[in-house]
Amino acid sequence: MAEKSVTIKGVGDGFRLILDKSISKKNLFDEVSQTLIPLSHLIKGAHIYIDSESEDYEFTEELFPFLKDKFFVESVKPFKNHKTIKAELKQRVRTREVERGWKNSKSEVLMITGRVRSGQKIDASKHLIIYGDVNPGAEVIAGGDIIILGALCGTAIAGQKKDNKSVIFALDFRPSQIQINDVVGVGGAKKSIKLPEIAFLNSLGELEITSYLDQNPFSKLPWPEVR
Amino acid sequence: MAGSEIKLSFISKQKRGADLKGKVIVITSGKGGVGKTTTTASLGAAIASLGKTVAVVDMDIGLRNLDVVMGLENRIVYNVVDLAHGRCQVKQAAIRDRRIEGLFLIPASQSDNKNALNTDDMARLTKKLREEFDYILIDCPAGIEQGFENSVTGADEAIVVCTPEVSAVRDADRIIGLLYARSITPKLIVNRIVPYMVVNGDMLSHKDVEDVLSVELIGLVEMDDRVIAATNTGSYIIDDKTSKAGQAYTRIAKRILGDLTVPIKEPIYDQKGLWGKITSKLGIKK
Repeated sequence: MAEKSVTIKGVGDGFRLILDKSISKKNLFDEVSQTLIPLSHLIKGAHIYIDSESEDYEFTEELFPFLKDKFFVESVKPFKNHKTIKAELKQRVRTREVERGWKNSKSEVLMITGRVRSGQKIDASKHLIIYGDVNPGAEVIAGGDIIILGALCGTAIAGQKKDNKSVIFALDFRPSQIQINDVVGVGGAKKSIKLPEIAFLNSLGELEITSYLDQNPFSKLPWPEVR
Repeated sequence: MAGSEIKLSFISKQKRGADLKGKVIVITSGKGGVGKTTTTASLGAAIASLGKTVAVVDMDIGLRNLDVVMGLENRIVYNVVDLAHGRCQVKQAAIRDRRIEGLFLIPASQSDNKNALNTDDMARLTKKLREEFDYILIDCPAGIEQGFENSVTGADEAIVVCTPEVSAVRDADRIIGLLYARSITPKLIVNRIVPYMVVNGDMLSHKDVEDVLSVELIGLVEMDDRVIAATNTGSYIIDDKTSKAGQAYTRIAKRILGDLTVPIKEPIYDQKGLWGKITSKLGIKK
């Protein structure tokens, strides 16, 4: 039995007309008529959605006057399947986020000013910002990022627990030890110049430290996103 | 008319009473061996030499040293534990130093340990001592346990002694945090500075120490071998007028007494060798 090149299914408020790839323009009208004539009483005043596998939208435009005249259909539109609908929604949502999405979102940040001394421990549930220095022997712990607007000489533990995307940033980056999630990094040799650097886990899961001014890992993100 | 006169004299008497009460300064460091005992003895001697009555109290119970450094170990009858527990009077426990007018030592006990006293004992003791002396310098033991807790009870001010070494700075930082938690603002003395090592980069400069600790600097003391000789013989380094350390302690004492015009002298490395010294003396320029 030859496969039907035109199939009809009920969908939503009308019918979905599935057109096979093999249909040529010449046979289009004949094949469609063949399928629809037995159902002409049902199609009258209905909405038709054309699902064309060949992705040639000309079909839709050509079929519209034909179907309207012959079968008195209400409208002929291209069929939007689950995937296309999702993609369109995403498109709409993305534009919304770029313009306003961050307005309704909050980041959980603990902001601290002052010097964190040896033996002291600061523990933040999500992000941590410190206006000040962290002395050697001090410990700063965060569930998210650690941003130190000063010198980091002590221990910084970010991404607790199980957050690989957290970063540790300091204007004068010279920690004795850092940790992101469960990856530990030992502090290196003493530097003579003060450098703003950022530590993060790269795609291989290794700790990477780069100069923030030269190689900011966030500069590649094209639009503002809530962290 | 007469009634108001009486009122005035009552108020002024009270005020005078408050001014006459002594000041308690605790000398601490966190790390051991940085020069707390030497500093306490030297500052006590210097402040007494400037005309005040000073009691230096050794709180290193079980490991007493202040008496040896001051050369008064043979005259100990009562100690700070006896005094705190009311077994003797202040006049009996305080040993008068016959060399410097107004200087007294209250020694620690050698047989007990630091749990022999608690903070209540210390609160009562400092109250008693305030009535008898202008300045009470407390030599705090190393560490952050009971000895430290006892020493800072009743203290008005604190002096943190720190040598330019990474480990000393780490411990001093901890101590400063603990002092701030007790609402005591500490001041810093950087001790045992060796200028040629600082120039060579082998030793931290006092600025590095100040950057990390971030508290008010009250004095810089240069390393002086004569301090070791003085402590071994029980004499005071401030009596040696040519000693740089002795001069530094005298300046610090003046600053403690409120004279803020005394400058903090930075120890400098004199780079001239023997020939350089001779030529400079003869006035020959290179």
